Amino acid sequence: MQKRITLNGVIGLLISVAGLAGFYATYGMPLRSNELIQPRVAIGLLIVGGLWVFLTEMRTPSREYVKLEKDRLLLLSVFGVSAATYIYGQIMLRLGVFSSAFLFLVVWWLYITIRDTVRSGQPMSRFLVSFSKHVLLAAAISGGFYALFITFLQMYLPGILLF
Amino acid sequence: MFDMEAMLAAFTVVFAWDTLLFIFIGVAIGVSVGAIPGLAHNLPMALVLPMAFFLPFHQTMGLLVGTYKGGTYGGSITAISFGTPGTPGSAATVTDGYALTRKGKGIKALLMGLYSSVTGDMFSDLVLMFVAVPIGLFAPRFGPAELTALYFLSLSLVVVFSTEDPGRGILSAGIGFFLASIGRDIITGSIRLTFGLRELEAGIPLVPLLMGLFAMPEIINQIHTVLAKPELAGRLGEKAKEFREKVKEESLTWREFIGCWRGLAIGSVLGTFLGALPGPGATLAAYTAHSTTKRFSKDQDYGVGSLEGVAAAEAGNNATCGATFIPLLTFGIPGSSIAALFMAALMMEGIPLGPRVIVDHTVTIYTLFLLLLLANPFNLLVGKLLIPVYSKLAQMPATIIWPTIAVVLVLGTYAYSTRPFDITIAIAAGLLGYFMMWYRIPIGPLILAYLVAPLFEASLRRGIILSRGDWTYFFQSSISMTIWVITIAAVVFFIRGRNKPGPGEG
Repeated sequence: MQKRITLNGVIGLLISVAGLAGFYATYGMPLRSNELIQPRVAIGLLIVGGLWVFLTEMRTPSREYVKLEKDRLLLLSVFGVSAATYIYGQIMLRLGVFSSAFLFLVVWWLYITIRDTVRSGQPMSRFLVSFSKHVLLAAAISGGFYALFITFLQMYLPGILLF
Repeated sequence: MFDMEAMLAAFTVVFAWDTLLFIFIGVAIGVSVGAIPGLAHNLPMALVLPMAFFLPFHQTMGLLVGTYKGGTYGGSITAISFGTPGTPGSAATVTDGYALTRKGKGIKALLMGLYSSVTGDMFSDLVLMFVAVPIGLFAPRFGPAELTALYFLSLSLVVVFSTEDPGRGILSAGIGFFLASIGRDIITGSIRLTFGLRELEAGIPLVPLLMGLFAMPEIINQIHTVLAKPELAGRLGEKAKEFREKVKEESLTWREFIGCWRGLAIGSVLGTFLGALPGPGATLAAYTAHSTTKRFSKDQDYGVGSLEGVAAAEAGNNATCGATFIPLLTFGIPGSSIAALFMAALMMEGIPLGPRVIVDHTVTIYTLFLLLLLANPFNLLVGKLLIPVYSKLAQMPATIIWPTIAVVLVLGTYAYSTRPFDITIAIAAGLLGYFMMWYRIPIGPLILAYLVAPLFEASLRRGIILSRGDWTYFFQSSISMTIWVITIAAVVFFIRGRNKPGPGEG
């Protein structure tokens, strides 16, 4: 019977191996056996699931490949969005709801407007009009969030630099 | 026994302008707040609670019941429009609801969500009115052995029904179990799997986890599209690319609604049953209903954009509304945080909850029943008013809407319990969610395992303690045996079904 090793199956196998290492590590934890029932069930499920994926992939060559997307821009988007969200969260805690939301949205829309202007070859005057509209929208949205979260819901924020 | 005189007295109180106004205000607040990701409806309910000190009973309860029902439904609006559940209970709606929006059938999905919510809710209220006492008498027969079997059944159903690939379903459940293990042990208080992080000692909270798992991967996907294909990204004032060609979206037809009777029926019954048990809650009910209906649905698009999927999840979610009151009114046991808020409101009104409450405070309880029933048409009305607004918002271009949702993600996550670390949890959950989406691991079993694991562990370990380590304890009662048989039958039924050749497979 024809067998095959795929990225899909290898990831399943890696999860199983990591699970086995985790299962072994539970024996070194300062916990009672009753307290370890659930973590061991969890790790056991990971081992079984990973092996199942690996074996299914290897034993059924006629099965359609699960195509995993491999794109550098995708990786950039994953880490870019995560980093931007984290930075925004930290800025919110220091500058407050309005300023942080306004800054976050304006920076993003500034990038988008510049990119669109360059791509379409539009004059600078069009860029200014378009960007001004985005700035107004960012102010309106940030104001709405401030009204909802701070004025209405009275969300607590630690001492912030601005108001 | 039915008391006609008390019912008439309750009727007079409820059908007054002031009560109707308070229900309407409550529903409007509930739907609006429920539709904001991260803000569960228990927040506005907690804000409304002090009013019980100075408002009459019918007004306070009208406001609370309206907020509760509106909030339970409201979560589905953003789940369907943006793939971001407004409340944890609407997470199961994302799979089919958001897929329908992407196909340009957002209005149909939103209407189906609304109608099935009201249907499930109405069913649950009627069950509460007519069988509160019998169900209340049956519920305490579920001891640790029966509950362990029940939670195992829930988990098995979701793992086997939610995916075509059992390996990935098991992986997802394993991740859910693992995440639920983090934090303090529920019986001894020992710290488990926190990796030295003090912030994890309280465990991983549900709202940041859900926000990350659902909203972040979609934000990443949309931003990736904006970066990779700038020509497709719309500008301010334009519609999103999915909606540009479409002239007018069709509304939901009566035939389509009735065609989803399986989802509606399964969702209503399972939601009511699980809602009546202390612990499971709306999220578990919605996922169980959605995955069980998958087995019986004839819709080829189930799981990738099916109205029946929306119907099952939303009926299951809202059918817990009335059922939550069953253990509360019959035994004074609040089965959820919402029920605890209602319990507090009733106690502030001077109504002691317990087995005699229906006998001693008949008019009050009938008033509550009528308020629950009456909140449903208001839910329908407010929902209908908001659907056009949200369907327009969903048509905005990705460059505008998704950065705004990223802001809501952070604000909603932080507002939930004002813990800065929750934002980090949401982002980490987002990365996990993206990996799961990339590797085609379904999210349903993860959520269900995460919710069931503490309940399962508590009942299992209580059972072990009670039986002094005798595992046969879990198979001794007729109820637990029945549930184990159903679990085995369901798994066998599933495996046999999978092994049968499908159409065109010879």
